[in-house]
Amino acid sequence: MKTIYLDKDYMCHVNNSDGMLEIKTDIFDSFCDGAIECYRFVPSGEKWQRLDGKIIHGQFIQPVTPVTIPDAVQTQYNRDEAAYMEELAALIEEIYNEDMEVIG
Amino acid sequence: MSLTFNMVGGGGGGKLKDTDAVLVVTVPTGSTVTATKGGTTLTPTIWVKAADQALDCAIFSIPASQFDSTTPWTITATDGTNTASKTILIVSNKEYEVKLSYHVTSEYQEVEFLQSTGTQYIVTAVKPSDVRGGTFSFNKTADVNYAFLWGAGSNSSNVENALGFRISTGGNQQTGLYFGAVSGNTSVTVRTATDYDVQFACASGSQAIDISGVTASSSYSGSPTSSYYITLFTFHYANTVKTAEICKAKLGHIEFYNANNSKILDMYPCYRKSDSVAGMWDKVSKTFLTNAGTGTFVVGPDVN
Repeated sequence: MKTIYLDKDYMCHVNNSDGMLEIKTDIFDSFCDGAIECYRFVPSGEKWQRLDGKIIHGQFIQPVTPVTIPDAVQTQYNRDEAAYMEELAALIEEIYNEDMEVIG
Repeated sequence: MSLTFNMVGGGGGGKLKDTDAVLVVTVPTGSTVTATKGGTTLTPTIWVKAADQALDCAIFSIPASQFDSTTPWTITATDGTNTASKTILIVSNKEYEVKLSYHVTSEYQEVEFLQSTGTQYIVTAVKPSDVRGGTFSFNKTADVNYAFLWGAGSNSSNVENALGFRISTGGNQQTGLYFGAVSGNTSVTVRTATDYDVQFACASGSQAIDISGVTASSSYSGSPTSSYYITLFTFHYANTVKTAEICKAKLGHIEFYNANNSKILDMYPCYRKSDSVAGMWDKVSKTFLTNAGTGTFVVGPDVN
């Protein structure tokens, strides 16, 4: 479950500002913060009028940027996280080996 | 602005006036198109072939006297069976573009994909025993152990008598096309965050799959006799949908063929305009199938 904040156009934000609507949702559980901010989220019971006059009824979730952008942001995040985990694992192993040398 | 085009099927081409607006309407080949505003109905000035050979472009020349910032033009295409229409405001001598297709009816807005976040799925009215081929496009956003993108199996074992496409591994079970049994699958690699276009054909003794140009085959002689309906985004067996193994993926257009090479399912992702509910419109059964799970599908960008 993540907390997101919606501006008046129901654009998603991960940080709060004045006047934003706070929402808790599990829709974005596997999304990184950068990707979340590429989406519009109209909550259940709410309506949003597009510039062309069409009404979008909640609950409705759609990327507001070309879909390649949130995909690229998420992919980069996953790579960075994987690289970080590899570095962390290597560091732990190095410390373990050093400790074993001291003990041994 | 002066544009010259070659006409479809040859001909001498045509020229549009600098002071006119140019409206380019892309439609499936064989369609007729009109543009209507108030009591005025226009037919295309010129037809040209689109880069996609299955499409034509109808070019309208809209005179300056018809520019209107309040009343839109209604563009309507028909192929005799299907009809599609959109509205557009034409206010100056620019180029305007409208794309029309017959993928969904006018009650729905087609989108590039439906995305399950792990709790949404759709139950079709098609059984594995009916399917002998198909195409679909997808993108796996995250792994969920054992998850299928679509499929159905039997009572006793989840993949026995099955037909399905698994996109995440689990235990010793591989990704790929499952046809009849776990031992008979046609294994392919499925990466996350990668767009795939898939074609497959399956018959006893001969299964083949092409996943974005990478091919695989199997000569397994099983038979998918499952009597459960194929579900999208997960797997259906023993009268139970595997809700704990709903995949996290985007699914675009999906179609299945029977042994006579007739379409038995032809689904386009969309949302209903009246209430914005997301689902799949099936052109074959003319039904709109919505989420049978929980939560809400993320929808892709509108297809214009």
